[in-house]
Amino acid sequence: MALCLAWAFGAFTPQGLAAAETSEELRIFGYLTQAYGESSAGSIRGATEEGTTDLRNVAVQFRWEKSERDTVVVQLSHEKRGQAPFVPEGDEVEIDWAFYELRIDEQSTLKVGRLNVPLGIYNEVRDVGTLLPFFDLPISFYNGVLSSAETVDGISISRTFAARSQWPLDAELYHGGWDTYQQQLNSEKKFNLESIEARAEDGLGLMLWLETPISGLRLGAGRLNWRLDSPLNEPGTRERWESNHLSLDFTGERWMLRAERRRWRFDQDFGAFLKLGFSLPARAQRDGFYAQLGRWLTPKIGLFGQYDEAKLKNNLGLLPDADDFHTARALSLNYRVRPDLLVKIEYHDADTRIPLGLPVSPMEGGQSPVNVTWTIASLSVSF
Amino acid sequence: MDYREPFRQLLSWSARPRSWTRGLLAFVVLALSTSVPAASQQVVMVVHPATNVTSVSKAELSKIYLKRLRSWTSGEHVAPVDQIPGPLRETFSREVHGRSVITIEIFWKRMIFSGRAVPPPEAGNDEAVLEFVRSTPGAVGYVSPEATLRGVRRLTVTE
Repeated sequence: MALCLAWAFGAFTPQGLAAAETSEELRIFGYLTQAYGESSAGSIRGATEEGTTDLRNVAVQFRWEKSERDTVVVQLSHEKRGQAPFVPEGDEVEIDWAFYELRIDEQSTLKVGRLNVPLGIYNEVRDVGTLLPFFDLPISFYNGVLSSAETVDGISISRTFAARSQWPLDAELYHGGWDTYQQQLNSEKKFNLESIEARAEDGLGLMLWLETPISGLRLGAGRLNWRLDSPLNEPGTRERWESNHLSLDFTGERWMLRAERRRWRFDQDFGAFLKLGFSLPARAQRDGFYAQLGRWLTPKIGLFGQYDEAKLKNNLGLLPDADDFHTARALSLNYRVRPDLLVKIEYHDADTRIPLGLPVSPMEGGQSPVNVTWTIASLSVSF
Repeated sequence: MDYREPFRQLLSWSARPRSWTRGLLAFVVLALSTSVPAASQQVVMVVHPATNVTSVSKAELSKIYLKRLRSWTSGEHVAPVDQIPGPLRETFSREVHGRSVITIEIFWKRMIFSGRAVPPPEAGNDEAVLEFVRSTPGAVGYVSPEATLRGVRRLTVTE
């Protein structure tokens, strides 16, 4: 990892930039989304009741192609989510990902470093506003860092099978760990919550994408499981997470249909019981599903709808089994000024038990659903 | 004035369905009036003279330009070169990919920001494409029918 970073940052020297101007070995890309959000009650996904412009994503990517086989990619980012404590207080600018890619042959690559995780349609581009029909991703599937991996510190290998056929299959297998965090109550902190750093380890994931002879239609399936090491857990406690999902992505010239289903499983064996020689695990399972349907009415104007739902089953005793854990509907009007400049205005309505203003695990929620609405206007550019 | 006031006014449509409908209608009319006319030019495919390929299917050519394929059927490395956005590229994009240039550019944004790949290099005109193809083994490019093909070989595109 350190070697990769050293190599990457070597490209940022004046000599590296000079090379970019002449041989285009170093390429620089970036994106910015600035939004305004207003909610019906309190902090909802960063939007506030009084309205806030403190919603943005910014990133700069440096891509250094040393040769046809060797590439180093580093992306730095900055994120603001209004008044919501979606991320712990930390650096204003962070390394999103930084990896070295070796092209093994025409259809295979090996990556080492901090890798962006191929999980579903949007995980790799989750903050790139010019590629998203809505400012935020559906919470039923893309819950955030507490329940999934945006990146892993590790290794991945990918291969395309039957590349010349009408049914090429892309497969990527990855392994590693990632920093995450958990919340604990602390009345001295903002929102009475304190972020505690935790670490996900032994993450092992697979993503498959099958292209079809129908232009623009692909089908996906994936799995990721990991172990969570949290200082909040009693010593000796084993906490395992598992996530499986299916994806359908049709992106046509005018129409867009995307739907994904995901099942999380959480399994925790308490250390105190294990010490006594028996297991009394806490288990929970959350099923999430969302669908997005959209049509570009003209080359510039698109109208998109989204339906998003989640159900919960558990033996934790704190929550009821809930088929109405989360149900949300959204409508978004997109105006694509240019391929790299997109303006969106969107309206969301949710009946949910999930505290949408807080970074919670997929299994956390209230006893009864509440209705909340929020509206976001955003402008996204990329280069 | 509060700097957030314009945003509030923009977002208050949700409470006023009639003005929201009128606003949407005006937005659609405005966008329809600025749509891009369809392209109508033809393109000629060319390859490096030493490339051991005489024809290619549209599907294969599309995969080459999207970097889904990185070699010719002979195994030789392929180096595609694109043209800058314009009528010729629009024709190529619709004929070969079955998609507009905008859709393909969005595809490349997705590839770039997932860290996977970058698009082929772009040449500013026919002569620049021909120069690239002449000097790069395995190269493939497209030019307008008026271009003088010197030092390159014509490539037949099949369905």
